[in-house]
Amino acid sequence: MTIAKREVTSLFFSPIAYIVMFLFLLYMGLVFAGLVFVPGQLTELRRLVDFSRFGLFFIVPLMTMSLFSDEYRSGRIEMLRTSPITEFDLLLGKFIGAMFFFLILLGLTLIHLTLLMIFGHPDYGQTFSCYLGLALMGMMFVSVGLFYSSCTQNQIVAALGSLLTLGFFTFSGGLSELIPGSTKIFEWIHSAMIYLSVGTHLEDFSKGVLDTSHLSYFLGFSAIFLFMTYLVLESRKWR
Amino acid sequence: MTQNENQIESGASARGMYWVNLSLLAVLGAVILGFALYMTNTHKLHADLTSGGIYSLSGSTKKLLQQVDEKGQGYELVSLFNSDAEKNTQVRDLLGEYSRVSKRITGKDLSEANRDEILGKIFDRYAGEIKPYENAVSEFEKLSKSLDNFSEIEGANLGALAQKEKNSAQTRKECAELQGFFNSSLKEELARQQRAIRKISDSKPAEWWKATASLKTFLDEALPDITSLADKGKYKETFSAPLIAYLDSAADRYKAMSDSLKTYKEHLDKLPPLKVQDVIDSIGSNTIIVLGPTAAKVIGSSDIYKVQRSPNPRETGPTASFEGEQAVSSAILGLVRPDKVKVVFISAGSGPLSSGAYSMITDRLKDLNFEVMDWSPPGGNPGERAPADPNPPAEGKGVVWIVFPPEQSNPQMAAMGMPAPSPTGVIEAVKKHIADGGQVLIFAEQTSTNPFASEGPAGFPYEEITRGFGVDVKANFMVLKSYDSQEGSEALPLFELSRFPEHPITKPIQSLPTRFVAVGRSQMGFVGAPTVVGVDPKKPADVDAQVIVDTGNDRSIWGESTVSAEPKFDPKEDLASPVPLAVAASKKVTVSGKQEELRIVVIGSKTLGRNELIQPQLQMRSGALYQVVPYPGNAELFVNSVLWLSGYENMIAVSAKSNAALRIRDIQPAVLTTLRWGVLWGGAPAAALIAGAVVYAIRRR
Amino acid sequence: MSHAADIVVDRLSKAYGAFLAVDRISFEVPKGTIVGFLGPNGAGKTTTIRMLTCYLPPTGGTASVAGYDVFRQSLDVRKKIGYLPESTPLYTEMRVQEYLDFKGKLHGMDRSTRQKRIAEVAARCWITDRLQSVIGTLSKGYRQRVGIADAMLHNPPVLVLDEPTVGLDPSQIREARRLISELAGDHTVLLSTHILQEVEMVCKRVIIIANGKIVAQGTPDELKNRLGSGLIVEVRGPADQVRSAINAIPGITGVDVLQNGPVCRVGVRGKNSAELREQIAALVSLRGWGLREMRTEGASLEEFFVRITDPGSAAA
Repeated sequence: MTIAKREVTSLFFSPIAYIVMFLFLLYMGLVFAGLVFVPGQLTELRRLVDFSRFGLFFIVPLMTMSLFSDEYRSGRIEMLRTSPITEFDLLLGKFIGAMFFFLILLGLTLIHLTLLMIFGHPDYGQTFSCYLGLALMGMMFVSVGLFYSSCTQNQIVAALGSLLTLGFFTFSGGLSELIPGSTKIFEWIHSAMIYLSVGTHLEDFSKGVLDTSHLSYFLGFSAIFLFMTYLVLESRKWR
Repeated sequence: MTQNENQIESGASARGMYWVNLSLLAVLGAVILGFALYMTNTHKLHADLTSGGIYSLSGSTKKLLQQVDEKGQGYELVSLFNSDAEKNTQVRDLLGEYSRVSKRITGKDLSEANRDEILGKIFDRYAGEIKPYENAVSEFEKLSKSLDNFSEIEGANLGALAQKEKNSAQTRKECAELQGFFNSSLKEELARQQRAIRKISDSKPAEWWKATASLKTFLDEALPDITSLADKGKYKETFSAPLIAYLDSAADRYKAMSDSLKTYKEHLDKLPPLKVQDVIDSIGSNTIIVLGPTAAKVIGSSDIYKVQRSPNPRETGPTASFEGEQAVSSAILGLVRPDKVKVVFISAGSGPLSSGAYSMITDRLKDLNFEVMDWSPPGGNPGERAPADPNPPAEGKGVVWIVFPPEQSNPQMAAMGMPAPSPTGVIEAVKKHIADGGQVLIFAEQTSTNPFASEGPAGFPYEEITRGFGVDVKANFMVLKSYDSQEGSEALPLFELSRFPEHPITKPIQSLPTRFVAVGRSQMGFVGAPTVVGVDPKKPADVDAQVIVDTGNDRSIWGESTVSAEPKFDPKEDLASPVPLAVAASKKVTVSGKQEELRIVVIGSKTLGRNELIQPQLQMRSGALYQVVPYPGNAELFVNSVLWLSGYENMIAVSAKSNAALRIRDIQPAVLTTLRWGVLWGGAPAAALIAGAVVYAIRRR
Repeated sequence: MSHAADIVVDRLSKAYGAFLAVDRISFEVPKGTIVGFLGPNGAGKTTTIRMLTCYLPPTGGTASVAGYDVFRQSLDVRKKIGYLPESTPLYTEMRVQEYLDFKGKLHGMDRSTRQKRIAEVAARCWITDRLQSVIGTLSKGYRQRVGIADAMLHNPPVLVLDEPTVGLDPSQIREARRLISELAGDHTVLLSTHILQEVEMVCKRVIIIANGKIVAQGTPDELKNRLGSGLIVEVRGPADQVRSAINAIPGITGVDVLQNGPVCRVGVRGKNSAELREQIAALVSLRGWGLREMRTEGASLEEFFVRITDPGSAAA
């Protein structure tokens, strides 16, 4: 918790946080104004949520790239690792810190929700499910970013790694259309890519439907990447 | 010393152990995660958080999908919606819900560009039906060869005749004409047919019926020509002697040819009509195709988005309601049900109702996979259009009879001394039908025997049937107080109900406007005589009877016992609201040793399902014309009653969902621009940057 | 193992692949003493310290700090140890106060303890006036002091300081050394450095490590004595002759030519005594060389250090 708190306060003093906020608000603002906030449209955040992944996949890496990389580069990792905290505490602290910042980003979209509420009547159940979906997606994205940050002391490499991975998760639904042929293997790859796509799982949340399979997708992949991060942290000292 | 050696080694072994632990942990974690992901994907639980429950299929649809899963046959739902983004999404979401609930159903979003793929799938399902057509076409291959040969030979022979100098000019001209027929027009036409056939058979999927249709027209044209040449009586008169002599000599060949063509044409004519053709013809943009294991159904856009009269027509225009679930579920039900339940419209003395005044209801029932028939039992008006048939087309268990009251006697007929339509034949038949375990929907209206003598009711002819089910058909008419007959001769005394007592039949039509015709006079006399139908207080103990329609608290309607030109509510004799108008009753009986439930529905207004009351009307809505169903409850009440009677009440209760979703209201362009620049893509991001700059400046101090 | 020792290292090894960075070193640091950990760059000092602070696991041998095993009771060790890493990594965007507060929380100190301890260590490290400064704006010297304050914050029995005076200006170095000296008694200090004066001034004991092995340990005086002391003799005369002549005197263990030329300077090693000096003076005047200067020079650790860590010199 201490780590998380420090992480958040530090983030607010670093310019990158404001750049992230700026990009996020700009992107969400453009999507919102263009696709959602149009007179006569349904008052739902659905499309904002569906499109948010195309912005978050490059915003989240900016947010997470320094989490571990910077500690490695500056040598502070030595200070942290010789403090009486376990790797797990460290990981959890960093994760919670990053998630907290992500939730602040989500909090910024209350601006958009407020506009919707002024000019229409959004469905509260659906809105809740939208935010839940966004938070879960953010959790997975942050986990991926955390993993890459733990792998290298170079922030740029970490950002690129998570950008590519998240890009895959974001676009694999669309990319799967490009898979040619109709052999068994290709069909299998096709369906696997559709399963891996964030869009497949985000859609129900944005609709207002909770489904355990989507819940488990986000939680599962977050867990996978957090676990891998833990392994990387643990194994670093053994190398 | 050895202990110390061990200690020195301990670091290395700890390192080894560490990696072993780590890999074990990694494998364990992967297994647990994989299992969790798999389990949650196969055993999905889901919750619809929308307040309107937009993404929840109704209980009856779920029951239906359970049946689908139990049967284990795959269904494919294909949406061809592609014009309106909002509708596309709505339909896609709906199909997604089906595939979510049932493992056997897959939903797909395709466009008409995938037409061939879809057609292929449909053809697969109708392969058995299409096969005879394909065979017929390939048979023609053989026939066309002999025809080709035949025309070749005849052309040559006739050509030779035409060349013979000793033949008269007339003969030569005739021969040349015939030669022309064989050598060019017939041959060319034949070649064209063969090309067309090849084109069809090459295309995948092949639409063989197009080939047979084209062959039919070909034969229609060619056959008379050849037959006339084989018919001595005919060609004798038209042709000159040498040609007649030639045709005489060739008579066998001509006969054989024309016979084989005739047989083939008869074969073509006998091919059963194709259902697949209807399916394919109805495919278009904005349709949903339901591909079942052995058949397919196409749901049109107007069945999915039904425009209805809004409750407050002055405030809002008609609203389109999304009835995708009803449409898709009934299509699936039609495909799931192994055999069709037969519905028989029975009315002594009227024409076939299913194609007449009740054709729209009939269509609805057919959509729900009912087989609709008519029976005009003897005893109707003499000289009626449909001849009386002493035997019903279907009766007994599993058959629903819809029994209408006998037509009122035609005044002219009565004047000529013809007897009034008699219900006795029907009564006997219904009794037998019920005794065999059949279900009945009775429209109970009091009839007047002689419209000239008295306009009053003359008793209810099916009394003895309904009584046994504890249904009390009273001698009271529904009267509407505010009806002003002077207003216009066309105006009918209509009253509208939209709340009903709770019953499986009425559950989904709560709040749907339903219209009934009250007693009233028109130039024709009584236009209808809706009768009070209640539950008999002295009903048999084994009967479960329940009122399904009553007039609620509407004081302007009452059950009048004496009909006069100026009806008045008389508390002593008349029935005040709520007046019951329909009853659903069931009775447990033993039919041939088995416990069965007999069901009956009695509705006191025979006009309920007439086309006039349920057909859509054109209405203007924001400058465009829309088809609006003014009283959607009428058809629903009728169809739901039939569903309940046939034991498919789980198909009822798929109620329409309002499409009047909440929308962003109109915003002035200036406000919109200000919001966009001031907040959305200007103000808020800039605020973030400024905040960052401020914090940075403070910290760097 | 001594019960009075706070740091016990027993045949501790660390291998990076095939390269043995630390080769079975053993030593003990008694409670309340300041021990200098000396060695040239790359000798394995930092690796050893990292093993002691649980940053790296050893590949062989054991070590315990304050009675806890670094491998098995790593969290306990970390609680008992205050560590100043070599490069003094700090969160540059934080204020000193915030940073120390954060570290205090990591050590599980409650709010009032934190406030008290921060005030104490800040006073001790002369950073009280900079508590509200952002670390990034501080000079290297102040950062180092913040690092030391950080290491002392949770009042650990054992302090491990890796090159604490690097980058400080002379007066700061003096102050830092004074600070470290004051720590003795309350704390056990392992001071890693490559500056010999520091060790001489501050440490009670010295451990010298080279190429992953301990080459010498003892008090600075013991080590000096092992070296003995020497004379510097400046003579006007040929260097070669001067050297061989002096070398011939009994009791002389070695002569090094320190400066060649018309006036040469030689360093003489041997048992330092007045008698010896007289003999040299006599010899010089006998040969007719001019004795310009003769002074006694105390054996410096520096010399010792160079000799034992540089294989070439050791062989001479």
